[in-house]
Amino acid sequence: MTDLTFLPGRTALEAVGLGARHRRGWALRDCSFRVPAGRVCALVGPNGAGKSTLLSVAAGLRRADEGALAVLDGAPGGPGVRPRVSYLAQEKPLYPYFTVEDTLRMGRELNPGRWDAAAAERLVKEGNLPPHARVGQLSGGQRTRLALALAFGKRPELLLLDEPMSDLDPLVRHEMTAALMTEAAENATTIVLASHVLAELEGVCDYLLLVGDGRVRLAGEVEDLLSAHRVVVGRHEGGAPPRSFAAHTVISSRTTGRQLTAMIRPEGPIAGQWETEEPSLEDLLLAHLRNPGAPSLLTPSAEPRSRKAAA
Amino acid sequence: MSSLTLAPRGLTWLVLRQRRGAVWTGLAGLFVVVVQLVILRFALLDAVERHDLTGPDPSAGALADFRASYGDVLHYNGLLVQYLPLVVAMIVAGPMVARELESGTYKLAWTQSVTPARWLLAKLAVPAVAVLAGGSLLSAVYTWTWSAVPHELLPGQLWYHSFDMLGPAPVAGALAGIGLGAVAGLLVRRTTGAMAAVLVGYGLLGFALGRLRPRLIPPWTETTPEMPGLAGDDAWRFERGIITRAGERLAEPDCGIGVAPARCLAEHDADRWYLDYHPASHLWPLEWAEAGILLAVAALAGAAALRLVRRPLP
Amino acid sequence: MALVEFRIDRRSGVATYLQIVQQVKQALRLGLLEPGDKLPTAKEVVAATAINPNTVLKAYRELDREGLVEARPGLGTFVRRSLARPGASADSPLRAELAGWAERARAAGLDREDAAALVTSVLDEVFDEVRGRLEGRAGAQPLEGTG
Repeated sequence: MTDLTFLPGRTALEAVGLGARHRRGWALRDCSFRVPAGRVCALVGPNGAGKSTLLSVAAGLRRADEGALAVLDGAPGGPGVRPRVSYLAQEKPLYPYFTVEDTLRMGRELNPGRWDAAAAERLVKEGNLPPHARVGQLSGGQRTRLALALAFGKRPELLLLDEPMSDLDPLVRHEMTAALMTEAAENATTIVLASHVLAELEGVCDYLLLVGDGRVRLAGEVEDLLSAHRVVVGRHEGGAPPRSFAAHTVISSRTTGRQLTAMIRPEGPIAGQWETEEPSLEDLLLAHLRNPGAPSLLTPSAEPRSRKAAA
Repeated sequence: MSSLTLAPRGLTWLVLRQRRGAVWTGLAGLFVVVVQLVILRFALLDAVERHDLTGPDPSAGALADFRASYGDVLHYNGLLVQYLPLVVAMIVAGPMVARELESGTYKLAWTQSVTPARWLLAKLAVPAVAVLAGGSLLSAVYTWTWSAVPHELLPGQLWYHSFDMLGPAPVAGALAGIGLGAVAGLLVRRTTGAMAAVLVGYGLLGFALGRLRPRLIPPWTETTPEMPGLAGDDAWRFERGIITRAGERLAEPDCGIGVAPARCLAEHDADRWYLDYHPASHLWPLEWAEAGILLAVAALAGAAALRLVRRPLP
Repeated sequence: MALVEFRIDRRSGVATYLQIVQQVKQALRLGLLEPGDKLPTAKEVVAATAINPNTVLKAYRELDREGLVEARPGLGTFVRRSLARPGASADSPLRAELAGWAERARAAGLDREDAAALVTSVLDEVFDEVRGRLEGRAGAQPLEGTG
């Protein structure tokens, strides 16, 4: 029986001043955030924002160039951490000459004492993958399914997925999402899901990490982030933003004819005759993606603890 | 049950499965070459005996026939042994290491429950065991077959010509090739580029070793007033020169064409000639000395490869 | 075998957990769920709908808070009381009257939307409390400011 518990006291990921360099400049710079354990966290940002770099650092595939990232309270890729983390890279690397069966065997051989053959095989069987087919001959969706089966078979406490659904048709995408959510429900697995398909995140993710330009823009519970923002619609003429907005943080503002539509972070009641409503996740993300200059916001649970302790 | 407990596990299984083609090709090739070398040995012995080639007066025709029939066969087998290290190095550099980095499949292995260092160790250890077992067998059988021929019958197969094909040197060379291949693969990270780098690197190593070889153990020296000849028995005469009255050695002094040796001595104010050589009995000490150097190269390259794989990691 | 199946509309703008709460209540009203029935587990819901399991638990906690269901640790979540009123079931006299009214409205030339608007406006008048809630959700709420 599912006895799913939030583990708000435990931390899946915690970055303090994290930076990682590319050949051409910084991929991540001065990132500080926290993702509590047991969450399904969306990692969102435009292409080149540093999502993949962040996941590579968390998976122990590359080093941070400054600051620190703790994974499940340990060093990324450390001996006590690597077996508890699954990572699915964007290009879903698999050995093309291996059969489906060989690939699952690899999971068993390289994860001694952890491998859950039943979980991995269930996912593969549901997709009717022929066990003796070579990976190189599978379709993109079948490869993704096999790669996910490998990630699940490890029984991870933290599952890092880089654009996992990008090449799936809607039916398979729904099935894979359901499988992911079932995994989260059964084992309280923390999932970090990098995506730029905003629609696939709604209803799936309860935590959000928005990165842009290598920095953290938004971090925290989706609900709290949504309720910290308002879409404001009303009549307004003239180019300058209404004076009554000065007390608040304006994320985006657009005037069409006499109508002004804005997303603001209210710092109290909003003066004037405005229709206000809570934004959808997609609205919130789009407004922040369109306005890279908007100040960042971290909810209390997303504040790194070690920084607070140090301060 | 025994086959189950002997079955490879973990990373060993992975490396063998990844290179399954090479494993079977290698085993089949080894079997064919070894069987054929054994047959060759008995054919050589039989031909020598049948035509009494080691007797006091072998027939010139029979000798020419023998050289034509067996010289090349033995030589090509020797080349297989000689180039084994290069082939091993290129396989490790390209398909085993660089291809994983190039295609991104290293991420698959590194994000299971094994560390990159252990992954690399398996990539080094599995071919090392294969080389120690298969390469040693091949080299031993070749040396055994080679030793069946009296040196005067096949002068091209004299020990110092066949040095790279005999005894422990090719086996140690293959071990060094594994280390160098891994370093090249990790540095170049492209399959063909890494293989090309190994080709160049191994060429340089071979050249350096060739220059070094005569001095690996102290040679014997003969000093004579007359200029010594370079031909003769199966000794490796690798340097000739003069010794000045001041005691200085001058290798192959440039006295111009047609100058009498005695005059040459006088020109350089020297009084005798010297000849550095290794008698045939030096073959095995030289082999082991070279093998020692190659093993040191293998160890250093292996350690460097481990450092390289750890460098970008947390 | 699950007694209810949730249909999640990701585009509706209604929070996912609220959709589950509303659908459970609807099932309680229609008598599809009765006291003692077991709600599907989070895992079952998630497997069918591909939504976040925490959302399901949040919806169940909300229903628990309203006293409609109770969680029995290790067993599941069970319905505590019904919302079905004797008057609201499928064969009640009230429903028959409403059906008769709808027939007359159609005979009078009203189309579906006209009839629905009429019903809604009457409901708004009669159920004050309902109107308040509807307005609260729809926005259009003037906010008095300090400036």
